[in-house]
Amino acid sequence: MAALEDGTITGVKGDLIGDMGAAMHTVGYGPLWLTSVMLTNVYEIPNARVRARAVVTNKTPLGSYRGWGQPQANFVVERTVDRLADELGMDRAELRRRNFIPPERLPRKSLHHTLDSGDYRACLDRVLELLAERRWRERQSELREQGRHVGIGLSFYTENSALGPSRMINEGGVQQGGYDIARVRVEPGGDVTLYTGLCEMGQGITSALAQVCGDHLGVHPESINVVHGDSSQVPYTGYGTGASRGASVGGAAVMKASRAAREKVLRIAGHMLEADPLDLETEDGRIFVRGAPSTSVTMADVGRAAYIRAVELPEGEDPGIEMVAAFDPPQFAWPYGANVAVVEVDVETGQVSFLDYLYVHDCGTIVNPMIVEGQLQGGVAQGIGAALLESLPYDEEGQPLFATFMDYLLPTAVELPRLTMEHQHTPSPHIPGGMKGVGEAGAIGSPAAVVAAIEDALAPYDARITETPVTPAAIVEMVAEGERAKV
Amino acid sequence: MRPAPFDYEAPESIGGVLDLLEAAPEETSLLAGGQSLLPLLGMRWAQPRLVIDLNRVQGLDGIEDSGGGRVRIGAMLRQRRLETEPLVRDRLPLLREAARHIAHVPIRTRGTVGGSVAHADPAAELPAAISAFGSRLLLRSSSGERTLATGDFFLGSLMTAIEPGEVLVAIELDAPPPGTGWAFVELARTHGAFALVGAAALLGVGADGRIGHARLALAGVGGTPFVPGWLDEAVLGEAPGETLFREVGDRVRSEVEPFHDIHAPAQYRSRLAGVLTARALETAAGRANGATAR
Repeated sequence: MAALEDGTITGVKGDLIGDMGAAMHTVGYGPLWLTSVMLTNVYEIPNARVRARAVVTNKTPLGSYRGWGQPQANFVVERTVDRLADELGMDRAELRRRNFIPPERLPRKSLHHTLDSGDYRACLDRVLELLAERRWRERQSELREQGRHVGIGLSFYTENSALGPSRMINEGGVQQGGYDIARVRVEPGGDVTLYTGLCEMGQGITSALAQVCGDHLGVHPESINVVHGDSSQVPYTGYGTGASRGASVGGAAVMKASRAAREKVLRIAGHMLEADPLDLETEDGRIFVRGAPSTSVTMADVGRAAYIRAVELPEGEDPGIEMVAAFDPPQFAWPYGANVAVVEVDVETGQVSFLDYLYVHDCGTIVNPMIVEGQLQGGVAQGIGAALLESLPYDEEGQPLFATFMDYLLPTAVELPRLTMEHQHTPSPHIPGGMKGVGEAGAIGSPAAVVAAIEDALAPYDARITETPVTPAAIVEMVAEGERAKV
Repeated sequence: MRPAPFDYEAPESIGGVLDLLEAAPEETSLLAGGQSLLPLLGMRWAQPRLVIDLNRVQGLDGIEDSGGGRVRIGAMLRQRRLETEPLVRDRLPLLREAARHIAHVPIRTRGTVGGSVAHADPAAELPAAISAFGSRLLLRSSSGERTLATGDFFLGSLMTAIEPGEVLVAIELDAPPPGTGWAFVELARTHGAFALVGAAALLGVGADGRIGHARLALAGVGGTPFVPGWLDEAVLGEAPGETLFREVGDRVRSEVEPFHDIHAPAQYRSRLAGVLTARALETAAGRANGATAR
């Protein structure tokens, strides 16, 4: 990374080697490619050159994992920015601020993608405010004087979400689409059935889609039955659930289909109420003329007209209310956020514990805050696992040494911090509704923040951490080296 | 994760167990809580011809004051009961603290004291914890019963002095004198994972403020629990203090010969043994004579 003395980053050069394992697997070298094009993160860096080499080895094949190459890119960029700030004697946050692409210059083409919208500075400033409110810098110096080793680490990420523009991913070699299709049916009894090609796997997508449908159709989400997971029933989806696309791409398709259904509902209701559909309003499944809620029809009335008593339909209106809509995003959507980890390191044992974890982010319009928070919690857990625990070691004979979860350690609730989280809201200009994805975000920025915090805690030993996982043994070794250097 | 085929018997008396063992002493595994044996079967690291389930055997899961300052623990006592039994809380608090480090609560409600001790995993808490007491292991076979001290019982990693045809039926511990401080400290990479190193300490401080008795045992630093024979000579009559405990820790560190695995190199485990030794002794000293635990 090259920069002027005032901290303006002028260029970045990267050389990546990706271990593909013994065979090209499901995603080929896709994650390596994404790592390579994310090496400028959200910074305005005029010059960049990246070489990525996919290497075939005798190890297990490479597959998809939350973040899809982005955590690796983020770790390298963010840790390099930290190092650059140290070299220049600048505050690490200030160096980031100086190089963020400002909101007025968005959308802007990055190394490969076009970053869509956002105010990175506002996000970073807010997380630093939280840090200041909790007096962590002061507490850090107090605790250091007591001989405790507390560190604060910061990172900033963006996430490639809303996969994806079908043309773009087809050109990139993906042999499938990036669109989503939704079908909305108002039933004869007035209930609503929503059919989606996305899958509920515990992440809550059916709740989020029901909310979107309810908002745009004018009914309560609880009256919506979401059908998913049965390919003989549901519409085709270009890609399915994954790649942080459910709420943004699937949600936009649901929104379009719901709006179309609502138009028809209002035409029928308008006919029944002898009113212009444009003058109608809906509330909790009742439809009435704006300002005159005492005379209304229900969704059940409309359903009866649509399916059972065609005589109640307006002249020329087809029976049934069943609308299909597709959405193919013109661009990816780019949520972003700041992680701040506060850790304490036991320098005798190398054990790391979390004192605090602050997370401020922007994923555009939020449909369901609880789901977003759950996604981020889970993502951060995986990022912490990557930072502290997870690795795939082999012995000299090429035998994997991670055959069970006794060997491959995952963080548990006991090791994880309680996140303090704040949302900001910059809608995506490319997505109807403005929803950006969030499914992978937590895993992207957290490793760099956690490792930066450990490094900061080990500042008295002048530690420099460039790889993960940071094991207790590695920490004890760094402490010992630092002590030797002091002598 | 499917075991190789095996025969299964679930006798209801210890006599029934011994009869089965006498008929087929080799290639037989005893099933207690299944904490270790079931994964071993599933991975096919163990492929016994016969599994004898001890869970229906009556009378193996008691805990009682056996007089003379001794507590007798049945081999099938669930580990969880070490946390809930008043007798353990009052007389053997070290055992209670050690039990809390074993895996997770649901596993401790299945796992047994005898199972853990007989399995003799080098990283397991209970072999080290019972080694910190004066403990005797009661083994029964069709030809009678014999008693072994912990030092004679643990022979190596996953190896004990249990002979084919024998069953561990109980463990008898010498409860330390009232006022003895205790500590079990451990470091594992995640909650419930195998310990990297664990240290158990008992420490009594006399009215003169000097150490009257002390016991120390470590897990995870070799094939068997590490019990320094020189501890009395090093600490008896001394005033408890950080410098003394660090000296003990340094000596432990220089003597242990731990193994290397993907979770930690041997050198790190040695270092950890020293650190945790000092911390365990310090905590135990802080708890001696009813002083509040830190």
